[in-house]
Amino acid sequence: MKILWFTWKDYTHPQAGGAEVVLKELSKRLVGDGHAVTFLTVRHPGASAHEWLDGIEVIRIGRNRYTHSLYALNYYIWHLRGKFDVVIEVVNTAPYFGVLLGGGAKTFLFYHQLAREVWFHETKSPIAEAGYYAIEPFATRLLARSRAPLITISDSTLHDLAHYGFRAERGHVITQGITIEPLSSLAEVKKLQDPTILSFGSFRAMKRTIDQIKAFELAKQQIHNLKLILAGDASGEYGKRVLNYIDHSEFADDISYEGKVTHSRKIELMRESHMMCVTSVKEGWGLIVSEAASQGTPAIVYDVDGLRDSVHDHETGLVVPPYTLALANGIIHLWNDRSFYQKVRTAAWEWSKRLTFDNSYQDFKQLLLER
Amino acid sequence: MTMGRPLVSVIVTTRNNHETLGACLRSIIEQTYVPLELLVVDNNSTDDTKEIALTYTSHVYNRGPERSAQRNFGVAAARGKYVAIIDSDMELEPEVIAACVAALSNTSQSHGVIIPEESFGQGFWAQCKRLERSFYVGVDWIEAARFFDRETYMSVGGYDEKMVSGEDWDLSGRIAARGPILRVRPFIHHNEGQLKLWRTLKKKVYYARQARVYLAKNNVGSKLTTPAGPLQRYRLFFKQPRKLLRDPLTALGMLFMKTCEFSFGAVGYIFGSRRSIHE
Repeated sequence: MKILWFTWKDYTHPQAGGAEVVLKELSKRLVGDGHAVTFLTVRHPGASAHEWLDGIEVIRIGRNRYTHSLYALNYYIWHLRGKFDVVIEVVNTAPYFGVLLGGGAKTFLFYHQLAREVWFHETKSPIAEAGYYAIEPFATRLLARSRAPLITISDSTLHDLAHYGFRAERGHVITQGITIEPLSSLAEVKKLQDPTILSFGSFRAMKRTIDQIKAFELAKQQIHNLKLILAGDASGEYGKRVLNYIDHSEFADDISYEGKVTHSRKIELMRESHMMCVTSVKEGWGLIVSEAASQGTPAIVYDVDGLRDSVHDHETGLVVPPYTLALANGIIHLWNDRSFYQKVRTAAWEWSKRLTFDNSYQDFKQLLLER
Repeated sequence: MTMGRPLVSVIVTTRNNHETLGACLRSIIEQTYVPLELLVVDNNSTDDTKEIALTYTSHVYNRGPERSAQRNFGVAAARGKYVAIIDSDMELEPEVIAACVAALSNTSQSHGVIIPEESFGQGFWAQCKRLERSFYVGVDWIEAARFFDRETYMSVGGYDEKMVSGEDWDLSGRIAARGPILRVRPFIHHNEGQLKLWRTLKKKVYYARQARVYLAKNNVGSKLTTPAGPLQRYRLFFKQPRKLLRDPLTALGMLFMKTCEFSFGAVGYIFGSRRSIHE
């Protein structure tokens, strides 16, 4: 089969995240099975207009995130339409509407998540209002009119999309995979001496990193030797606010910021910390939650879309209301009850072993072939 | 006998409360209930608030930027099974804490208690305020819980630190979702001091500017019928005409003051922002 992905970022993009990893892993397996895969994507600085990555053809059109979709659709209509068996549109805020012009191909919509509340955290007024109240609902409803089946990675996203005209039977949730190899045994892990919380990921307003520091400060009232390690890119405006907050914290000595870390350091941190906190406004899936679980570290997450899918509350971690005090309470609870901690940690690790991209690919391939 | 009795942590938040704090803390340490721990969470006072607090307890902290953050911090630092959230201009009748503990000890269903409030102070406007508050006693949608079991308070997330007004109703709502809120008979007396109309109105503008956060969060349709909204309040007052006619001058003053508060509130709301001061 010849398969085309519309996706605004490819996995070499500097801002590539969990969603791009999913695309990469699925596409690599498609290529491995003898299919031809093409990405139609934005041209980020330093990237060439056309190249082959891991056997995947990458065509990069347009340099701006928002106008790129117009150029890409135009390119598709004139040069690519009718040449593919399958067209998959990855919807990430600015849609292409490529599925409406399938040209005889099977079409699919791939949604990691809707932006919704993220508009208010990542854009300023009045763009935030326009996006939240007008642009996104309108575009989503328009896409819902296409007959293309929907692929997502979490029930939360499916549920969210149901508000915009996507009937549940159209949706398919495929297993989220992780690329980190789970530990073969939890016995081999040596945790840090003091109870340590890990905060991982780039510092962006929608990640609410400061909530984690505040929760740490509150939990510290009960767990006096508690430590916090943060790792991630702090280059943006919000990143500066986070660093400033750390500097002024009365517990600054117990907080360490490691900057952007290498893959091996990331695994080391996930292994050695006792728990991870994730406080995003919304996610498609809490990928780092599953990654940390694979290294024997459970997570406490806010009860929001995507994160609540990646933790089974009180079984593989804790899902708490989105308030710093509730997060602090979760930290205290998880740490003070040692047998509960061990139970949760083991269950999280066991679950992570089933989250493989081979499983995702099986679900995904099934869908492509079925149609 | 204190053996086996649960510890209660009383959290008092302060900011330049030199005038009222002594009486407030005294009313707490004179509670009939023991064991009690007293925590004072100050927000950068420039007067001798902290010194006064230290004569009553060694648990004096400093925290900002707002009252909700101070309260939540106090609860996080507390050790009690129960917590009482008290403002520095309040004076508790000696039985308040004992009554609250008795109420919650008898049930595992409920997690919050409303303590009725009464105002006192000097001058005409304080009298008006006193009359106004007297209408609220026993009215569920206006009174909010102040006494909680600590575990539930923490697990629902405490006061929403992004809200500056409406945060007490918001928390009561989340606590009530876990079980009915109870009430006790003993009162808290609210010291209005020498109440100045102008100062009250300025405060209203400030709170109203932030009220949108509450309204947006709770997806409230009409701004006029929320707990802070005017229509329900007037309805409440006029439901008891005898009470109004008993002291017509104070009643008129109260209605005038409320009308001014709502008008100034409206101005504050219109010019307020959708986002809270913390964002």
